[in-house]
Amino acid sequence: MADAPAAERAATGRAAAAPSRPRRLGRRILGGAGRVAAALPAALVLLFLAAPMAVLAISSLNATASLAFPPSSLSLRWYAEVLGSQEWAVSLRLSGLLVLLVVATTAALGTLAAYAVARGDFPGRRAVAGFALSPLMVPEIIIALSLLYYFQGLGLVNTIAGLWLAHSVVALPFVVRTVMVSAQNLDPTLERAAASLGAGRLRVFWTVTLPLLRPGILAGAVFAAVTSLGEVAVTALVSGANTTTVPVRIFSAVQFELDPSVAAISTLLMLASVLVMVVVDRFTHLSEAL
Amino acid sequence: MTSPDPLRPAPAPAAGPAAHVVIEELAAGYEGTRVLDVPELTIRRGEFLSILGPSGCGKTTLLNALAGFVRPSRGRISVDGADVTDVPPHRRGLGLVFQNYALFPHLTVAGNVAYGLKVRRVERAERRERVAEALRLVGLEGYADRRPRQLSGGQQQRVAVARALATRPAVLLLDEPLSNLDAKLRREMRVELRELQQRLGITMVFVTHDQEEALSLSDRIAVLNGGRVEQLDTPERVYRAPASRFVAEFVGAANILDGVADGGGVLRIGDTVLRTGLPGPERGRPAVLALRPERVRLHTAAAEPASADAGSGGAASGVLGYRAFVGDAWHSEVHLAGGATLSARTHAEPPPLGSEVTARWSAEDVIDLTTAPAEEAR
Amino acid sequence: MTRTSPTRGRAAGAGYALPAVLFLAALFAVPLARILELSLHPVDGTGNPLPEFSLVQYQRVLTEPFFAESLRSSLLTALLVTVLCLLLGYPVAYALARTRPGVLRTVMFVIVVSPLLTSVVVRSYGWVVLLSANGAVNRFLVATGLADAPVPLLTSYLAIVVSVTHVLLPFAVIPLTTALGGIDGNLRRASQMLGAGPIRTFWRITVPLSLPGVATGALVVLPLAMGIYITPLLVGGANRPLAGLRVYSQITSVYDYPVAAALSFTLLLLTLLCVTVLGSGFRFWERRLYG
Repeated sequence: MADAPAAERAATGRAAAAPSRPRRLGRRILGGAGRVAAALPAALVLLFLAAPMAVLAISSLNATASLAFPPSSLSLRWYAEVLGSQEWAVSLRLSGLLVLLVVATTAALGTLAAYAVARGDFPGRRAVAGFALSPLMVPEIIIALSLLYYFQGLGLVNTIAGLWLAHSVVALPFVVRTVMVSAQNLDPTLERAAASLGAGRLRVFWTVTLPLLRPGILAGAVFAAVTSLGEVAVTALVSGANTTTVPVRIFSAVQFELDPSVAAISTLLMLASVLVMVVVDRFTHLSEAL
Repeated sequence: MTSPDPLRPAPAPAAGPAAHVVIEELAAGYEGTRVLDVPELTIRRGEFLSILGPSGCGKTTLLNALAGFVRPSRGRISVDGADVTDVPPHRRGLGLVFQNYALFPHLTVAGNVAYGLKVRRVERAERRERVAEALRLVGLEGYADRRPRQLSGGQQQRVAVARALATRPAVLLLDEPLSNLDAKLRREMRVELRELQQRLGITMVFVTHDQEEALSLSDRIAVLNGGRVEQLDTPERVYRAPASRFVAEFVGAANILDGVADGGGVLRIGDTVLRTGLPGPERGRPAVLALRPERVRLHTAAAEPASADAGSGGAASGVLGYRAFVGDAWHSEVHLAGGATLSARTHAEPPPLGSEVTARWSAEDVIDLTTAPAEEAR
Repeated sequence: MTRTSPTRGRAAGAGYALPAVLFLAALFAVPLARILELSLHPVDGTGNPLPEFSLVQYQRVLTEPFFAESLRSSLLTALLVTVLCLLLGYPVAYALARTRPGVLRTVMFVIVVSPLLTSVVVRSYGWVVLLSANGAVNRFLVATGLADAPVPLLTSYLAIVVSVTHVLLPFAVIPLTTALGGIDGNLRRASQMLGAGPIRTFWRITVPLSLPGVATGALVVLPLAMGIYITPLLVGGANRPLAGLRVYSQITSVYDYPVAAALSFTLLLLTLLCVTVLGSGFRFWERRLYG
């Protein structure tokens, strides 16, 4: 059956390429449709992921005191209100301070632990890895209750130190996990090469290992920062009137009143997080570090 | 469009009675840079054709265009006379053995081999028979229930071949299938692969960067460079009569004598003057000659043959600057007066380092490539 | 420190892990042990723990419907959310794994991880706005005539499932993307060369080989879903029968810490049981697949 057109093509030589063009186009369209069919569910899920945050950002521009969506008229008045408010300013300062403390703590502890687990050779290595990651396996309410009870005994409830320690417990596993991935991909011959050139262990760690772990450390630091910046589950219980972080203030505001100023501060918080991530992503591929 | 049936007898194809795969005016490239430009290439039925070239020469693109993974920007590929240019890979009926074998890790050896047969809805009983037959063909009868990762590299390679052959493809494409094996195994697999191909009479297209592999396996070799076919010929012709300087240098070792003719068969390369043994182009014309190292004979001044040998053929004098035993021969380098260097591969042990030597060769061993650069420039 | 350690050969690197281990011991293990101990005490009439030990709190948790019901509901919700996260996460992970690095991929990636980057209250608050009586969903329902009056979405179980799924989706997408991206593209090509079309190749090759990602995703999402309480509190109110909410209300309004601790530990045991069962199920499946 295919012989006749083949012979015809052979007879007409080069010109035979012409009849295949519409068919090729048809296939391209079909292939395109297939790709759209495959991409459509993904697009819908991405929309689902982005929807509540987009809605929030748009609601924050409401000119009136209602959270109606879509807003009937737009203004930035709620942003002015939030940024001018003494209460939010205190919370913003506290959240900022906590981010710095938590990132420094977890990056240092997490990097060392992940390096030890991924590259060390000692008995119980796997147990240490499991222990360092175990806070991820424990439901958040349980960590919250245990820290609340523990801090009550130590007088750490409603203190900055208490929040710093609590956030660090929650954020540490994220750092350990991302750095562990980097450390596992580290070529051990590079460290041996440095040692063969006369570098001592500390110098090897400082000049070869740490720079090579940087993508993992940065990714972990971003996660630690974002975790601290958004932590509510534990913070809601161990914070108090003097130590209200931004998300906890949002949390209590949302429970009692719905007004666009909360949407405005939420949008600011969200933008700050996305900005941090996009900037860090330029230096290291977070998507690969996960 | 009917899918090509591998068992169908050959129709009368366009380009000669033996044409199996015909490539016409094929071009492919990413964003303007052309990585492949093949005006015409015909693969004969039942032949073992190697596509040989350095990395980046376009051989992988050519293979992927044949397999259907690269859409050519222009041109036509037909198999058994049927145009397959727009046919997706899974309807082309070709087989492909991957460089990393690409065995499905979640299937057993038998599961891997049966995969293509299940797709074709081959009956269970026949399927089992054909899987056993394919495994027998590659000498892995007892391995049906193993997982790929329980096999050695050589065994994995055999499974990949068996898997591709089980569907009885029209053409088997092989993408550097031996490059992940150690040297000894590679030589053994070469023999096995060639025997298998001759026994089955299947058309094989073998992509490689290893000239020795291409020479020892192929009926014909297509030497690719910069996306173009530089030469398509039998291994012997490619080696003895390379069509270009690139082919001469890439296939086997070659002394390239690139200079200006001085008349009377004398070539001047910078300050070096040597007798080529050829009547040579006329005085003042540029000339490029190639000379295989194993065709060069070395003579010390004392042992200079007095016979006619001294008079005919080419010769150049110099000092032996390097010598090394390489197993089946000696490799040496002669520093010619004037700065040029000539490599030689001899069975006799060369004189000690620093000896004054004369390198000699027969006129018929000189490969004249003078026209090749002009052709490139055109 | 390790540098001068005499036992360097065998214990190489152990010293690096020490600070983190001590930190977690003091702030994670000890507090857990403290509430485990607390859960073993009965309480007096005002909720203060008594010195003697008993299992009465666990008895309450398992027999009083107020607690038992919440455990059952938490488990079912967590399983449902896990399945939803995997089903919804798969196409996104597939698209992410197949998209070459570039602007499109970065945008997709930012959207995927944006829930991780924004506080859980912000995310939940977004759902509150969307689902409230005059929110976008209700306006759409009323405008299109699908509903006569705004539907009370904010207190429905559906709202909780939707918002919890949303919050936990990135934890499923990320391991799925890693697993899908790690599949050698030649395996897909090999399948095609053997005659399998894209759909068959997807089901026979891609899906089985992405199983480790499915397992990781499930094992990460499930424990998170078991104890989640902020999101359901915001979108569903404090009275939904979920274990996390029950613990929260015991702490904040009843002040009965021992029963909250007992409920927490029962929840933890249930979580670990699920993770173990699920994990060994996946391991068995993987062993069957890969031999």
